Amino acid sequence: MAFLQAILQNYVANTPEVQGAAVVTPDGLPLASALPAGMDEERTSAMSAAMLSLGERIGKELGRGALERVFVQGEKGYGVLASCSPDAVLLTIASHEVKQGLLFLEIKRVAASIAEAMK
Amino acid sequence: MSDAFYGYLDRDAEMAAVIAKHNRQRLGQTFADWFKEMFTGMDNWGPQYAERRWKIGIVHVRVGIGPQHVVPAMATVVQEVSRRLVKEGKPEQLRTSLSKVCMIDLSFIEQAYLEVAYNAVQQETGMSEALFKRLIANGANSLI
Ligand code: HEM
Repeated sequence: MAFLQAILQNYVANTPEVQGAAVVTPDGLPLASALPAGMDEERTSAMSAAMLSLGERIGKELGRGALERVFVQGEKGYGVLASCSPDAVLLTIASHEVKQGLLFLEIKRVAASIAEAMK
Repeated sequence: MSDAFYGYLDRDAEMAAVIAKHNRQRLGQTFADWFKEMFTGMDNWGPQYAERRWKIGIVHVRVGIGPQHVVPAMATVVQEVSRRLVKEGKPEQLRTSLSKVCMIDLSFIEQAYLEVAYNAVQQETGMSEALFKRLIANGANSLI
């Protein structure tokens, strides 16, 4: 998955305030990651997939239509989960200084390029 | 057998309360059917037999009886069967065999408990089985 790794590294290096990213399968298996040191890749991947799955499920239950993203806002910043394709979930972590609108746009762009690369 | 079984359940306040909400006669009948099937069911052990046990598990989960209650309940069945067989002078081998059948049944019912719980969480969260197992494995690792 070298091409995914390259996309992620590029993404993290070139987007201010994005501190890490990972691509995982809907089953929670890590495919590629550029996460900050000390973050447990296996656990983060499984939890990300679980969160997205639950997000999709509750979105449906609440009649919110197709899911765009799951957004976690913490004291120290954000965690955002977005589906790239039926086979890939993108996790992005960003500091709280990030501009949300720009972050969402960037996530969309990266998710699309991951989907394209995985075809 | 059924009387011994429900007599045992009646001695526990929590279980007696659950039983009281149900038709005793019907319960006695379902138990008797189950007991009979332990002797006849194994002649053609297969999906249907497993399915019935699985359903018994589901029924108990729905009623809210924890798996920890099923083990001592099955122990009562084994004990009562043994008592009868000894009384009637039946060979030891028969006792051993019956105990084994009870244990196999118990493992089916216990398995159903786990699967019902897994399936329920999977359905509510939309998680795949693989993801669910991964979370359990990760969680278990971090518990040690
Ligand atoms: C060896 C353990 C047990 C066996 C073999 C057993 C067997 C059965 C069977 C065959 C049924 C009928 C299932 C169906 O409708 O398809 C049933 C239902 C039921 N059992 Fe048990 N049981 C056991 C333990 C217990 C315990 C510990 C309780 C505690 C109170 C209990 C309470 C009930 C109740 C309330 C129902 C009726 C549920 C309903 O119809 O809604 N059982 N059981």
